[in-house]
Amino acid sequence: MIPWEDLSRLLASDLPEAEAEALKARISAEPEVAAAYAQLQSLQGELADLDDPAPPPALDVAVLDGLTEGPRGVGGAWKVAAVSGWLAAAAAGLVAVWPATPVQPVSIEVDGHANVGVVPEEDGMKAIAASSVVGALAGAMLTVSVYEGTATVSQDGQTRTLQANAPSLAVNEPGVLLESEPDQVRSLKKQVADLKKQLAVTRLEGVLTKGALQAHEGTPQPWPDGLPPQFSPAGFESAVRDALLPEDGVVVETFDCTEFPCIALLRRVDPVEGEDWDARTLADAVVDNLGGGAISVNRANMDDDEGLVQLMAISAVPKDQREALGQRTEYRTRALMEAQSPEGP
Amino acid sequence: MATEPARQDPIHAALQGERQAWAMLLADHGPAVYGLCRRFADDPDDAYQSAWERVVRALPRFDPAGTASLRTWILTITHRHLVDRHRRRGTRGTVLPLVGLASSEPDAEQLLSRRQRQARLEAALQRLPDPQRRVVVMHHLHGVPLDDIAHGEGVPVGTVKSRLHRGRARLAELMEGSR
Repeated sequence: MIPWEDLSRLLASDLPEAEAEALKARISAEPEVAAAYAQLQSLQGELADLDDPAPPPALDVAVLDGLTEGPRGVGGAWKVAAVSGWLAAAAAGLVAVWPATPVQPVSIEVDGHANVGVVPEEDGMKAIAASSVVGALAGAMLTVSVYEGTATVSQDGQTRTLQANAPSLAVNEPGVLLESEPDQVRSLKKQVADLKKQLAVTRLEGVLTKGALQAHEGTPQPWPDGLPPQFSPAGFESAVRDALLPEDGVVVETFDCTEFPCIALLRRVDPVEGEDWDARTLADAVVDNLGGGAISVNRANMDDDEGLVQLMAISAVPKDQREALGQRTEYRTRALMEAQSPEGP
Repeated sequence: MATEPARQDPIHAALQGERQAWAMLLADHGPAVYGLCRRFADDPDDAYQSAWERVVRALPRFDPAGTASLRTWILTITHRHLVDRHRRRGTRGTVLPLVGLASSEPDAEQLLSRRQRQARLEAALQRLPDPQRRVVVMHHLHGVPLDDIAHGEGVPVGTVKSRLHRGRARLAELMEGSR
């Protein structure tokens, strides 16, 4: 019997000295143990030589687009205002209750030092002008709450509540105040720089998610003009059904021909735990019936209340259209299979 | 000669959303990340996307002066992410792409012997228990130190060593049996 695990430990110098010596003696005396040791050594090199499969080009492009395209599809002003509001709130523990209904802008002077501009708009996230709030915070730690036209300003334990009055006053810029407080300005600038960094990450995450979704689902493909009839829904279904022999113990679960190409979902009638399903024979038979073509086969093993369920999905296209077996078809295949899972899609 | 910003400091440039910087990161590290996803995840494309999301989130914390190279750091994040996904998914069924069946061209069967042995090795890897496969792939294919793997797995390094040796032993047995 070959002591594979101990040989592996010997290779890594993980074996106690006495055991290592004993094993080395066996390697010298027993050719089969020596051969096994040599195989383990070469195995390490072979593992290191294994190629990493390149991601599908479309996947990388989608990731790249997602990482770099910016907040496309979201109103720029909305985005900036929303994030700015968040920046200001995060910068100094500002508590803000966004208004449920539109209210008019107000401007509040606090102790003659700072102006807090509160500018609620229809979109609640735009409620506070960040520059004004940051300016106010340069002079004092404030809590500002806004709810349906009422602005509450708190400082040094004192709270004043002001009713929002129309017509509105302009939002005040904090420039003069910031210049007079250099230490706090520096501190705030650092906070803002940190938050900008976080903002960049947040923005990237958002667009990445969008790109991920697009890459994940792919783009529906139109049925090509001049498609050979054997790849039409009827032709493909016929090719698959004709490839299934009764002794194969395989039944058709469904055909999905809502998009090009069709996908056949098959189920093994009496699956055996630990026994692989010979997909190649069946796939070859389908290709033969189609008179050639590019084919994609995916399998799934699942457990339901009655035990093991084995599924196989087959789709096929003419050779010159093999790109159609890419991301979108993979996504549809996965969705079809997951729909069969006890947990659902 | 002026160097492009992305090449000078790709991490900073990436955080600024510069396309060239991300293209460089993807070109340099994408295949390794995808390799892990293909070998560890039942939905590798989705795992690849979400792994990069993790990388994006963590990138501001990467220390270029630290002990880990950017490659090892990215792979460690990907590894941890895939372990998390695996734990979340529990025993849910898996969809296994059948390598080699994507085309029926006549020469598809005529693989070189090296490619055949690699295919057998890949198949053998897939037969390892998940924890053993992760350790073998991370350590031997990507050169990640066992300590870092232990951190990603959330287990002592001794456990990782045991998994490594069992995994290698099982692989050797499987390769021996498939001759």
